[in-house]
Amino acid sequence: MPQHGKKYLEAAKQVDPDKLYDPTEAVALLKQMNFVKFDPTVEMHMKLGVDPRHADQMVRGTAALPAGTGKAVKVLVFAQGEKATEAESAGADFVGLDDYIKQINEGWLGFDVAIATPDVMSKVAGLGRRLGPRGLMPNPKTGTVTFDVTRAVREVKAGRVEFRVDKTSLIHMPIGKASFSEDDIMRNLASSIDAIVRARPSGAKGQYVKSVVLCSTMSPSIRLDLAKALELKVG
Amino acid sequence: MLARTRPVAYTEQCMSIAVITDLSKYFGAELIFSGVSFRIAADDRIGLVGPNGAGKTTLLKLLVGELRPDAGSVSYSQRASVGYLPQIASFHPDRTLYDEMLTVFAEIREWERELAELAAQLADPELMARPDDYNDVLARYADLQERMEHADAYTIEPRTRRVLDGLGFTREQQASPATYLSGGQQTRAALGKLLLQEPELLLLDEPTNHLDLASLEWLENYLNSWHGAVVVVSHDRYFLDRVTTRTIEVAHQRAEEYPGNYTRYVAMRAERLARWTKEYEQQQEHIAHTEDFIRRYKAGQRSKEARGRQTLLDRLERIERPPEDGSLKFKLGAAIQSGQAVLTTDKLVIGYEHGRRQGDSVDVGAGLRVRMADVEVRRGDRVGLLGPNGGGKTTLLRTLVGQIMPLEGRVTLGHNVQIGYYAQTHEGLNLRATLVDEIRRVSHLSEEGARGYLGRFLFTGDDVFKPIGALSGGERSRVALAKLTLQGANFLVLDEPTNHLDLPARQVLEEILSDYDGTILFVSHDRYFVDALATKVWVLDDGRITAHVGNYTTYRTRRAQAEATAQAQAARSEVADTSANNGHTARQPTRSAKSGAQGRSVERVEAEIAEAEARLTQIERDLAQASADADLDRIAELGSRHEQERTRLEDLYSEWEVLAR
Repeated sequence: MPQHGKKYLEAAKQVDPDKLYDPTEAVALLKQMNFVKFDPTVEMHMKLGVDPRHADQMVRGTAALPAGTGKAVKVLVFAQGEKATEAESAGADFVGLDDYIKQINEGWLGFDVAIATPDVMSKVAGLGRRLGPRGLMPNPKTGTVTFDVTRAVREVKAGRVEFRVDKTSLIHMPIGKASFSEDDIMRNLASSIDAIVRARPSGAKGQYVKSVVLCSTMSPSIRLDLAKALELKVG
Repeated sequence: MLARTRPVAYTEQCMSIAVITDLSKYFGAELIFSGVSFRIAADDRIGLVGPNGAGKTTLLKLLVGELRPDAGSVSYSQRASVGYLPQIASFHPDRTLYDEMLTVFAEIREWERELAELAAQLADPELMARPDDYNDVLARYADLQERMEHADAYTIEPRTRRVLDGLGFTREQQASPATYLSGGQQTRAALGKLLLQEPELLLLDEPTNHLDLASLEWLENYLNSWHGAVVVVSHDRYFLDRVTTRTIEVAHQRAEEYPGNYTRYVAMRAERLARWTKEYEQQQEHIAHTEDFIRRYKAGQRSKEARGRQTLLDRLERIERPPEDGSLKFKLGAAIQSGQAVLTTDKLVIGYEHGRRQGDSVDVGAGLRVRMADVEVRRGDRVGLLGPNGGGKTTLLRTLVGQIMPLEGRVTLGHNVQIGYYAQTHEGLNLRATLVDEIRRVSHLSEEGARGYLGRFLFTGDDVFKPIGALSGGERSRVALAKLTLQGANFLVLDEPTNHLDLPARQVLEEILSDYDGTILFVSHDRYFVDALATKVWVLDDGRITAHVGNYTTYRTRRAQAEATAQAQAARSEVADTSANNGHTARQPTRSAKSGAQGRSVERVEAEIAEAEARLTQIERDLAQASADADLDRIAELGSRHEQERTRLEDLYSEWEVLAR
């Protein structure tokens, strides 16, 4: 059995493991039982009724977090000429093409999101073996292959997060920091759940969302009342 | 090798990944089987057994879709993928092993190519001017990219390397054409392809043929940890027992299912057949009795009763006669007797240079070079040749029969020696000729005589007019054996004769070869076959061939003892090395050695040495006697005692040396 620390056990006493919490109540409790010395990330974990081994049951997409992620996201934009200038003024951390392709091939991976304009994809495609396994490959589906680099960079910086179902049919997503107001966390939660529900694949059968759990870094987890969580309104 | 996705046709049982319903198959007018129905569950381990030519491979081919059934259907659950290992693995002659493995990912490669094309189109200003077309291209690009990520396409190369390394292929072999590999290595490579495919249902057709013992063990363990379903055709009962949990017997134009592994199947089948025979006999007796009654009273006073009985008899549901299993019936005999010395080798080196293909045992890159200890094969010897896949066993046999020239040294055949060679791949058979023609080609038999002769090898009726190319692996083996027996050779050179043969046929072959009055040199990976037959074993290991007296078990025992002795010697030399490192020479006794010997006097050790020497002399004398009597068991036993005594004597000598100083 894994051993937990005193503070964790103290926090765990506040959570009833058998209870399904109302989302508002859960967020308030999460903030209340925070015991770490840093600002922990609030996470949402969702169990889905899909079999991700089949391509038509793959769940993948992006969610815009209205209150942001609370983290500074480093963005790399593959673009040239006018689009490169546009990306720079939109606040991209790294902008370029051949130099960065060379650096990545040499092992550099100092960014969180890569965006590319469609016209340079023929060059960027060669990075598949480096970026693909890490989920960093620009993809039109997640809005990272676009000519509208200004919008893409701003959205990512403002709190757009990607989600993807793992092999065990789970989705893990950061939805903010514990220092956020309860309202902000609620808005991010609603937006995330909405994005995942909208990304329901055509091949999914039966109950799509099986359970939703909230927690923060190192905290005990709180199970949400599924019906109430799915009813949350975005906005 | 196939991997395919099938449409849904049957979804009633979600646990079954395949449902086989009322399958029938004819080849021309000949019925292979009919009414075959069973299900394959997601984690089933099914053994497909039955005599040669009963239709096991046909059933597998129907399952994989290579053949179409004449009636019935094979339905797969949604997206069930099937991996098929055929009996004879085929590889592209120009492709390296590594490239051959990558063919599994042909679809991914195609996606990659299309992605590159689409990426180039995305940069085309003309396309950009047409937003609708542009968006279509972008959508297709996104779709393909998602498929690539889902299929883990970015990691195919490291995955392929990992599998090949795991299967024991060197980088040199991976970079050479797959067709350069030996039979066993090719089977392993084909299995490697299946590993990369990760299908939900594995169909294996005699995967154990050509595999050496180490690979066989690997395969057993691999299948035991396999996550999906397995259907395997095999004649290796030990393999079946270790791998399968259900058995389906294909015989006499139908399929019967038995729960349990091979051993359980054999017991249940015998029970079932006994019950069936008893019921059949009882019914036949009843019929005979009733018919007798009808015959006697049909026209008499009791004619009404007789007619009633006739009606009952007409309505009686007749029990079918239980099928009888045929067995091979033939004799092997030498036409003339050879001289005492059948074959001698003199400083023989076999092989070929620079990866040229010669037969089936081909190494890659640097070629193959095997040095052989000088040996003599005497009349009546039965020599089993053991060695790993690709070691050069087939090359040695082909050199000895004169198909390949030796690299160095000489092979001398004795007086009146007539060789009968049985090739592993049946390459001596003309695939276009019919069975009768093939037999008549090597004999003076009439057509009728040839048909009668083939009957002893279980070919009946119109079977004998089939072309050899249409026969199953096991049937071809029987034809090759039939040809061999007609030659009247007095020195049989057999390359894996048990491959493809079913179990009863193996036993018959074993008995016939045991009774054979000539000389036999054979290769086999069937440990029980080697044990039953061999009186000597030649072991091919690390580019050297050594000869040993006794069967496989004796050889194994002796090798284990030799290894133990070698370890003990290594331990001793380590002590000596340590003392040398401490500033002493190896001959100088160390303090610890001295103190260890302190409790014993020089006289005592000398007395023990004298005793040990006496024992050794006695053993040597017994050995000479046993050799004269040709008592192989005794020779083996004395050999191991001699080795033990010699080691003991050496220990005593070193102890005496220490004490004497």
